[in-house]
Amino acid sequence: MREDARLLLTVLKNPARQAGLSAQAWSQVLYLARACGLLGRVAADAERYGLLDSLAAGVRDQLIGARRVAEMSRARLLWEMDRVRRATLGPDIKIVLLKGAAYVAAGLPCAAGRVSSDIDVLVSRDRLQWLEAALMAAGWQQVKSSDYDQQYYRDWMHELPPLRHPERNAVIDIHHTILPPTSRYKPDPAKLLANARMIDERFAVFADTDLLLHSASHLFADGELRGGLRDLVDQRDLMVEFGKSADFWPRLKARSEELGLARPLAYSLTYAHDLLAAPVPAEALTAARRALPWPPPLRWVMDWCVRAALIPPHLFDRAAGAAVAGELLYIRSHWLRMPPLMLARHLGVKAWRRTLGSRP
Amino acid sequence: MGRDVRDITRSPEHFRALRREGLRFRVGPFVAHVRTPFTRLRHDFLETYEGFPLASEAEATTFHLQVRATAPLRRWLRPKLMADAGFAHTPFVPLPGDLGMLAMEMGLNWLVATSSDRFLMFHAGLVERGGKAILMPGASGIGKSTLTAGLSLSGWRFFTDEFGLLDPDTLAFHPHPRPISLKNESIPVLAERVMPERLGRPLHETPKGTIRYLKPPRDALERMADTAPASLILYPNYNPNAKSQVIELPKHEAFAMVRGAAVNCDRLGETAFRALAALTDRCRSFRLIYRSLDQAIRMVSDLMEHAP
Repeated sequence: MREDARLLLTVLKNPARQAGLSAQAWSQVLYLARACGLLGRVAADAERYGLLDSLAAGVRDQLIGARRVAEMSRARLLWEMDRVRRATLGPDIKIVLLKGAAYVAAGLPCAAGRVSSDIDVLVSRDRLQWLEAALMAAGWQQVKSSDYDQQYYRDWMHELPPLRHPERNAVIDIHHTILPPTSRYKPDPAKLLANARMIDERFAVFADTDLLLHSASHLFADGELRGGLRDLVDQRDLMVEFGKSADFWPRLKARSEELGLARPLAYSLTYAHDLLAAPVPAEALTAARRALPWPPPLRWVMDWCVRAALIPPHLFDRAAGAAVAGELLYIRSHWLRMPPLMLARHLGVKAWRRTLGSRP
Repeated sequence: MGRDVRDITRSPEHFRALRREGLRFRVGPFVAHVRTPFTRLRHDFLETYEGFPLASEAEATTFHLQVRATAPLRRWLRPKLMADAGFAHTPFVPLPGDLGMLAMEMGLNWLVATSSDRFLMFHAGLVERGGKAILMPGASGIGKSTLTAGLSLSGWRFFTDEFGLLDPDTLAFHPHPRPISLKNESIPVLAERVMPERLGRPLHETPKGTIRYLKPPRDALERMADTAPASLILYPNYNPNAKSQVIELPKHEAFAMVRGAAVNCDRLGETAFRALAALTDRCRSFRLIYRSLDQAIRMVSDLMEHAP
């Protein structure tokens, strides 16, 4: 493994090791952590372990800066939740907070130092219109203006076109399920909603198993994995936190099968364990890995791609391998997202509009 | 990099290093690591950055930047280059091959603007005399760089013509002495005040017209670790047709004005608010309308006499 990747993983696994890093090692860790969106996390770890004052001034400066930005992001997220709460007074409808907002609202350890630019929520499909209308009445506006984009989101995506509040410049994504309806994986949103736990009179968060399954399916079944190390750190933290109760692992396995997400979970457990030392019991890992692809060569290709793409290459050290892995994963992400004909049509429209010079 | 060499020099060694492992040098509180294969840019860079202190192995890098060809063939064939910091969502644009210095400076500016949230950052020029700093915020093109350069050639110590870096805890400003970017009409005004070798070659037809980079004065580089608190905040406005004027701003207006010049205010939240309030409290703020550089320098000297 690359030296810089190894160093970053070391301090993510064991923050106390920050204390012994040389200036040269810090140069690599700081660059890579920033490229992965993990600088705030490294800073939060330094603070939690009481290391900030012992670090060299140049390193401390960068971490203090990242700490302030993460604190502000958190305050902004809380304020945005407050504004959504205010815009949706009245009917007794459960709004589930997703990802960063959920981690902050539920007070989970992975919220530490995490910077979120958007707020993501989920409601049942028949409440979509109500929520969109309520937010627009309170001043949120459409971001995507073209008819094709609007229609594309509404027909084929698991979320509505994003809304932005012009005064606060904050974006909200409203989901009705966690993966595009055309995706290979089709977890039933009703099941996710049913188990979501209310945290106040308006907002809910997913059950423990579902928080992990959502993050895992986002990383391994929807996105392109590029720079996805931050998501894997979230997953590792969730495993540490929820794994404290002994019945979590069997419940997790049963739930992943119920929702049809056994394979994304197998990837999540494998890489969180291998790269970030997640405390996954041996039997849980073995059981989950039965869902990995067959035959094994497919597994090896995926393994090579994931390891190369999860952590972006250094600016001054661009090996061709990472770019190839990134491309393969990009193709895979679309392959999983939609059937071939639909993909061809979608990419065709995008290419056509690019040649016409309008924004795709 | 030889271990005995402490400053950037116009040596074959540094010329080579820029293409291979890159050069790591200190600018105020930051360590920049830059690299580029372009020959002309490497000449320009060493000329402009000659005398900047190289970073020691005990100092971590703050940011990395390379200026690279937009496509492999573009290094030789109708050269086109752009800055690359390695992150997604950067605003860098492709530029013709002989504008490498502009790509480098814009790249470094973007990195400072987006990754120094340890400081409250002002889009401003900054000079110091007798331990008192003067902050001169202002949009591009109203004479901020010219006045900053003019003052730093008349007994003031040059801090920056672009980024005022305020430590929100100590309220001291940190120098960030980079090459001063002179544009269009301001070039002849300063060319007659400095030795010709301190001015880089003109870069024509840039998105901002003609640009020449002025090397920061020697004492600015030697004292780049010496911070200073601000006493004055001036809003310079060069207008050859107006009556010259000094207008003091009441505190509430001064606060709103200086808040508008703070680049990363929204990312710092309460920290920024408290620092802005304290800064407004300790400084006097003036609007400065002037007809010539010499006149402006005299006005600033007078104001400095009564600075708190």
